[in-house]
Amino acid sequence: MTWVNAVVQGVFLGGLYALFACGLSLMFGVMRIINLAHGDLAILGTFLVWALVDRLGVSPWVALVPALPVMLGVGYLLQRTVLARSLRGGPLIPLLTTFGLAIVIQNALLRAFSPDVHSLGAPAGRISTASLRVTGQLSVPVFGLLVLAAAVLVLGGLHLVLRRTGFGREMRATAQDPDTAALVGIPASSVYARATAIAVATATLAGVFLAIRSTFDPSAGPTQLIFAFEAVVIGGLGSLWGTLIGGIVLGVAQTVGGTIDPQYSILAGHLVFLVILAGPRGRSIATRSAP
Amino acid sequence: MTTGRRVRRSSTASRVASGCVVVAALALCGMPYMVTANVVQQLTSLFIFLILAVMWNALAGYGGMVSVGQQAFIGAGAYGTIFLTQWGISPYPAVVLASVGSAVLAALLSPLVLRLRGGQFAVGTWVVAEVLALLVTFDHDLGGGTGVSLRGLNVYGPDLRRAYTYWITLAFALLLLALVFALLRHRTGAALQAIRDDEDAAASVGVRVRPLKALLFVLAGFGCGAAGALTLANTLFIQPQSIFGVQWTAYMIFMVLVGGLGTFEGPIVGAVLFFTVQYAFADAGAVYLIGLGLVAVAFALFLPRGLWGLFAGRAQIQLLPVGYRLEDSAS
Amino acid sequence: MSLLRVAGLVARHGLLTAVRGVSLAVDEGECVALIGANGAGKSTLLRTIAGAHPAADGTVVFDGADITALPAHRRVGRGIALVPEGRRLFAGLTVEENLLVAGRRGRPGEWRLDTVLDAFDMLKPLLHRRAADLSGGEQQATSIGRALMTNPRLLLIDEVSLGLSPIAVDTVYASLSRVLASGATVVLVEQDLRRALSVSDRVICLLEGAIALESASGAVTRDQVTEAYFGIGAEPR
Repeated sequence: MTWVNAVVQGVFLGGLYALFACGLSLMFGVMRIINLAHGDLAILGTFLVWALVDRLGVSPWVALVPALPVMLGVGYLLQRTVLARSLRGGPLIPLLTTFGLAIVIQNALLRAFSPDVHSLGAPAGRISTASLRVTGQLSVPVFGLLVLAAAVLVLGGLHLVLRRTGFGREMRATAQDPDTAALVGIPASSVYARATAIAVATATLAGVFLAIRSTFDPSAGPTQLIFAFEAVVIGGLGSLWGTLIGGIVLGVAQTVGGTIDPQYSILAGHLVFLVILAGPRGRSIATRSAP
Repeated sequence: MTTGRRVRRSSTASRVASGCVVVAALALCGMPYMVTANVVQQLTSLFIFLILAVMWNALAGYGGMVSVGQQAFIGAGAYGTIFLTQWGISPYPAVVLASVGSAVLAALLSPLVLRLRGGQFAVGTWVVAEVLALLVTFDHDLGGGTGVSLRGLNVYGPDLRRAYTYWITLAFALLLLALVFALLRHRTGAALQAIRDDEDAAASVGVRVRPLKALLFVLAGFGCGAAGALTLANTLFIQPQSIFGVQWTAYMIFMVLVGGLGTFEGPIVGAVLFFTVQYAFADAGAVYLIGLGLVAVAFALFLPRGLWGLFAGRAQIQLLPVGYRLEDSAS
Repeated sequence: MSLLRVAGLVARHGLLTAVRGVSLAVDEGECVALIGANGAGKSTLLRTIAGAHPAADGTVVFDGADITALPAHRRVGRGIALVPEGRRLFAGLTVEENLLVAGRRGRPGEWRLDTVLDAFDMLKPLLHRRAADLSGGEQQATSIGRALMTNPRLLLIDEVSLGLSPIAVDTVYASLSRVLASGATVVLVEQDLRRALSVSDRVICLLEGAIALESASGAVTRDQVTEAYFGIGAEPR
């Protein structure tokens, strides 16, 4: 029963990773860059929510209502100012820029909020601990279900937007050929800015789920970036549903590894990533195209 | 009427500078006789930074590979040294062997991580570093998560120990500079720059991209391993969190970006600058790191060729003859 | 007043000057054929007018406004559309999506999905096919249709028939003549001289980046064209 439990927990954890990963995947698909500040932007958004909860005494869900639009704006402005310029500098510059940005955000958070570990579990109320009993030994945490549902909703929603809306078509067209997109009137910079806005907002949402589920601190970003990246690679780049699968595989690997011995949890996830990379899929990764 | 032109590798400036390098190297060898042991230790850490900057520049500036995971090899070098001394090998030979071990590790990993490009390579190498850090914390013989001391150096007096560590660090720095210099002087130099500028285009004109990138990756594994082993010899104590920490990458990016990405001289300038900055501001903690990050971002956006690129571009100077020059000849 | 007026236009590819001081004007409702040898600067001229290539010197005036510094995507809103060389369809999008994606940012007008499909009826059964899976002629039709979806006042077509089978060329031109009949203003690059002369009102021949010949399509002789095309022929032997 422990194993079934571990897999169930892993699936829920995978939902969280997929939520972190979808923005990373979207930015890579549209702009061909890996945003090395992705995890730190998520934690920045989480601290914004935490500050609202702390100062105003509201629930994290209420705090998300103003926080998500703010983080959309942060992402939009980030692209319009820093990233747009770095994209013109060739393939290395966006990486160096976003890495520098990650250092800045991380240490600014450290300075503003101290290295203390925080959690949004208590302010979120009973939902963070409640569980549904399925059988005698198997109970399903309500919050895990909620995270998975949110991941399916966000990834599914993004998928529908990309496939079915004019905005989504513009994003896919720009991802494939930004110069030709300009010839039918699509300004690449504005598409990029909106993709970044969505990425930062979904990362914030993921960060808040992480904070309710467990804890976070100013230096939690890089770990989330790594997990998100692993989920994207495991799931196959460029497909949002693949990202969900990748997140779940990573989550299950971690919880099953953690069942063997708690200290193997994260290592097991890394190893699954490396095995996938070494396998036949790894060969095609570098040449994968847009969503 | 035609003007004769010829291609030359060196200029007067570069010949003078090359001579100066030799003189400077000799002077640096004599340092332990001239300054206090404390200064010798500081200089050792300067040369460790120099090694790191040169190695990271070789990866990113010449191979187009932005690695966020070189701390994997820094840690491997340091813990390799610990491991070897535990098997009874004396510390300084262990430092050399562990550096070679890091190169072997890089060679083993290169088929895997070189499947990735750009940002994927960056995060992929980071994962490798995290895995190694985790494995080390599991091993109680290596001190687990709490850290471990290097034993066996107390056979030397503190002053002599620092001098020895300094000399071996200097030797590694000069060796690695010479290796990179030789790579650039050789035919591979042009091929490497073609890869950095456009990997696909380079491949299409017949540059064998994979082996060259693997070569750089192994070289960087060797150099970073040496830097890690020497850091251990210099400080005598390491912890997995710090020796495998991503802050090393932050330092390397700062040094190379500020000095001059893809220039031979740039990382040297960057290392000296970073050493000074570190010495002056490291106590400022988070604010210092915010400053480092902001400066790195500013250089990436506005001055990607760094200070050396700016200077060399203005003055038309290249001190070390790694490229080719076209000049008018009298005949 | 001319719809498009180009004066002293210079465009470079690095050290290479592809367009050297071209001046020309196109009136509303006119069809101009741009001919010339490979490397004469035809594509670069069209791309510079569309804003896809920067002008090193000179001006592009469209509908009385200087648009030389305007980025390509803003020129679409003014009413300039380019069918690029090699079609450049969004390969992962379907034919329908390729058309619809162009319909969002252009001008309002008579060209909508249904009217474009009426003009290019060969596309009707292909709507849900991925652009990558189309034949050359189908791709060219989609590419022209995509440009039309922006309701351009000036349609620039680069290499209409390059790489197409003769039958596909006929089909594309049959549809194109429907577009021309609707009173569109068109500048097209065409290697097939007979085709170029029969479809256009006026022909401009470029030689090494400059205009070597400009004439009404009906009045031009074969020798004139040969001379302008190769820069030789008129010299007595």
